[in-house]
Amino acid sequence: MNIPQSESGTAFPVILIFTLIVVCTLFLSVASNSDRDSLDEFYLGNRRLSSVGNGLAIFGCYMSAAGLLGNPGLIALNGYDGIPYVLAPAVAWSVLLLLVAEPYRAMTRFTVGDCLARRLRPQPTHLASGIATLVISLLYLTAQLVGAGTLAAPVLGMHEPGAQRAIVAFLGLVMILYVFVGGMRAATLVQQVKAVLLVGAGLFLVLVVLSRFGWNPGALLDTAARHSGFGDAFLRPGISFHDGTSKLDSLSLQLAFLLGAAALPHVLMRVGTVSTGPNTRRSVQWATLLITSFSAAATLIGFGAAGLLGSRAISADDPSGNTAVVLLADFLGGPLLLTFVSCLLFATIVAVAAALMLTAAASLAHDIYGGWFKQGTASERSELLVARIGTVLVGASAILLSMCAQDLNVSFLAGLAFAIAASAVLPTILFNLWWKGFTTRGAVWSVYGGLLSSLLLVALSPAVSGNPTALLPHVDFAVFPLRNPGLVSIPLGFLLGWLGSVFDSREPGGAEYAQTEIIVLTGADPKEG
Amino acid sequence: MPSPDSFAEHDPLTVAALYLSGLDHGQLYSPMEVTRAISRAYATSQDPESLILRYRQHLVGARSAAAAEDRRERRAWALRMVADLSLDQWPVFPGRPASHASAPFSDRTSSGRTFSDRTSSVGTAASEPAAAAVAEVFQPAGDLRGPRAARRRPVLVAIAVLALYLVNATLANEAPGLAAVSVAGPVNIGLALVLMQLAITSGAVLWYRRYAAARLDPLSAHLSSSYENQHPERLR
Repeated sequence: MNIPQSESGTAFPVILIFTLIVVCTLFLSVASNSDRDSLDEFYLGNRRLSSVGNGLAIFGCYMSAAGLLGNPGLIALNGYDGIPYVLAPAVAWSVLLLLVAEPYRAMTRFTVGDCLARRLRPQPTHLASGIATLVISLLYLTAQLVGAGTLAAPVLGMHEPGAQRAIVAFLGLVMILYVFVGGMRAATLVQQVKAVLLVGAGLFLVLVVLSRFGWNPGALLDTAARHSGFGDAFLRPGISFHDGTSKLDSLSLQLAFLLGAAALPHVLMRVGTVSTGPNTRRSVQWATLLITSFSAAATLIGFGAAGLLGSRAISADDPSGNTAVVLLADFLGGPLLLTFVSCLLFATIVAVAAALMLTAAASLAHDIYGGWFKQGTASERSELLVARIGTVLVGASAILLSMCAQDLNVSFLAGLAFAIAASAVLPTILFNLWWKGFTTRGAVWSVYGGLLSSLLLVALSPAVSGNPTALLPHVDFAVFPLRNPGLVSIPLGFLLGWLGSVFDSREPGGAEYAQTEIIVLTGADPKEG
Repeated sequence: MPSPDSFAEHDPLTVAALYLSGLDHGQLYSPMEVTRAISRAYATSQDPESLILRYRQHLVGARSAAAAEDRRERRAWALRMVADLSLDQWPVFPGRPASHASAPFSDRTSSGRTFSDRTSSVGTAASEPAAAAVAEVFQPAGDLRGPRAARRRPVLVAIAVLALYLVNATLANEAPGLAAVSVAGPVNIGLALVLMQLAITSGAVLWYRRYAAARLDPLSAHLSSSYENQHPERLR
C-alpha cells in the first residue's frame, strides 16, 4: 500500500491512541469486576447494560475489519455487484432478530452447545457444536489476523515483510492478554468503544462525501460511474461476472454471507450475554438498525471513493480494494482523519478477535471439556482454568497460522467461516427452536455434515489449488468449480438435519419440545420467573 | 352490566378473577396492574367453572357480618374496576348471551382464529391495551394456539425479507438487462430494488418492536404464569 503522508507521520499517534484504548478499557473492566473467578463473569461479563449499550457491543462484535474496509472497497471496484454482499448482513440480522435472538438467549447459558443440550442429549451435541464453533472461530480469527498484518503494517509505515509478521504477533499477544485478564467484560467495553468510533467515522465520511457532490446522490452515482472506467455498466449487475461459474460462485458467497451472518458463534455468544428477553429484543434491534445503516453508509462511501479517487487508483493501491476507505480518508481529511481511521481499524481487530478468542475458548472449555469430556460434572474452577488455557492455546495457534499464511492468498477464509456457520450452526439452531420433530441425531448429522462438506469442498475448490491465485498455486486437485461451498453445503446441512431426525430410532417423533416451545413462544425461560 | 345488587352468578368472569386476585381493594392500581392480577388469578384456576365456583362460595361463605360487608365491598370494587376498564363486556361473541360467564369457553376450538375479533369487540379505545391483554389472558391455560398464531407473523415477515433478497440476487444474475432499466436519472431498477430492500428490512425491524410490545409481551406474561402453575415439576 502506498499512502502519501502516512510514512512515519501517523505511526506514532496511532500507536499512542491504540495503546490508550487497550489499557483504559482493560483497566476499567478489571477495576469494575468484583467476581473474577466465576464462569458467568468470564463468559458473560456485565449483564446490567442498557439495550443501547448492548446493541452497540453487538454491532462492534459483528463488524469486522473486512466489513469496515472490505465492503466499501468492494463497491468502489465492482459497483452494483458489490451491493448484495454489503446488504446481506442487514437482511441476516433482521432474520436473526425475528426468529432467533430471544428464544436463543433464553435457551442458552454460554455457547451454541448449551442451546442444543437444553433440549437434546447433551454429550453428543456439546461435542459437535463445540468442534464446529472452534473451527469457525479459528478460521475467522486467522482471517482477521492475516488481514490485520496486511492492512496495519503500511498504516504504521512499515513495508518489510517481517514487519507484517511482527504486527500480527504483537496484535495477537495483546488480544490473548486482553481476553485472559478481562474476559467478556473487557471484550464488551472495547466493542462498545469501537462501535462508537465506527458510527462517528461512518457518519462523518458519508456527510463529507455527500457534501462534495452538492448533497445530490444522483450526482454521486453519475460521477462514480464516470470515474470507474465502466461507465453506466458500473451501476448495473454484471461487470464482475465472466461466465456461468462466476455467477454461481457469487450466488454461493452471497448465500453464505446471508445465512452465516445470522449464525456466527461469537455473535450469538454476545447476544446470549443480555439479561432479559425484552432487553435482548431491543439490543438486537439497535444492532440491526446500526448494521443496516452502516450497510447503506458503506455503499455510499464505496461509490464516493470510486467517484473521488477513481477505481483505477484504488485497485492500483490494492487489487482487492481493501484500502479504498483509508485512501478516501486521507484524501478527504488528511492525516487527522487517516489517524482516526487507523485507530478504528486496530480497535476493530482487537474487538472482533477478542470475541472470537473468547468463543473459541468457551467451546473448548465449556462444550468439549465440560459438556462432553466431563459430562457436565466439571467444577466451575476447573472449567475456568481450561477456558484461560484455551484462550492462550487458541490465540497461539491463530498467531502461528496467520504468520504462516501471511504470504499466501487466504481471502477465501472469511467466506469459508461464514459458509460453515450457515451450514453447520444455523440449521441446528433453527430446527432446535422451531421444529417439533428435531432430534439429537439430526443435530449431529447436520453439524458434522455441514462442517465436513464445507471443508472438503473448499479443499477441492479453485481457492485452494489449480490456478495462480490459489492457496497452493503449484498443484491442481480442484474438481469442485466454486470457490465458496455454501451453495452445496448449506442445503446439505438442512437436509442432513431433517434426515437424521426422521431416521432417529432413539427419539422417534422428535425430542421433547414442550418446554422449548414455551421458550420460543414467550422469548423467556420459565425458570427465570 | 351487573350492578352490586344483582346476583353474583351474572358477574363477568373478569370480575371473579379480579375478586380472587391478590390485589387489595383499598388501594389504587394502574390498568396494567389490574389486568396482570386478573391474568394471574385466571392462570391459577383449573378452568373458568371452578373460578366462578370459588368466587360464589367465597361471597356467601362469610362467617361474620363484618366479613360479609368486606366481601361485598370487594365485589363492588371488582365490578367497578372491570367496568372502568371496559372489561365487563368481554368476552362477547356474536349471537351468544354475554351474561353467562362460562359461555365463551365452549368456543375453545376457535380461539386461534378469533383472537383479533375478541380484541376489537371490547369497548372503548382508551382501554385498548388493557382489553388486548385480557383478551390474551382468557386463552384457556395451556392452549398454545393463540401464542403460536401470534408468533407466526414475524416468521412470515422474516421469510418475506429473505425472499426479497433472493429475488434481487436472482434478478441480478439472470436478468441484468431488466435491472439496468432506468427509473430516474442514474437510478435503475436494480438500485431501486436495493433501496426497497433497505427500507423493508429496517421497516421489519421497527415493526417487530411495536408488534412484540403489543402482542407477544402480554401473551408471554400470561403463558409464563400459567406454565408455572401447570408444570411446577418442570421448573425444578
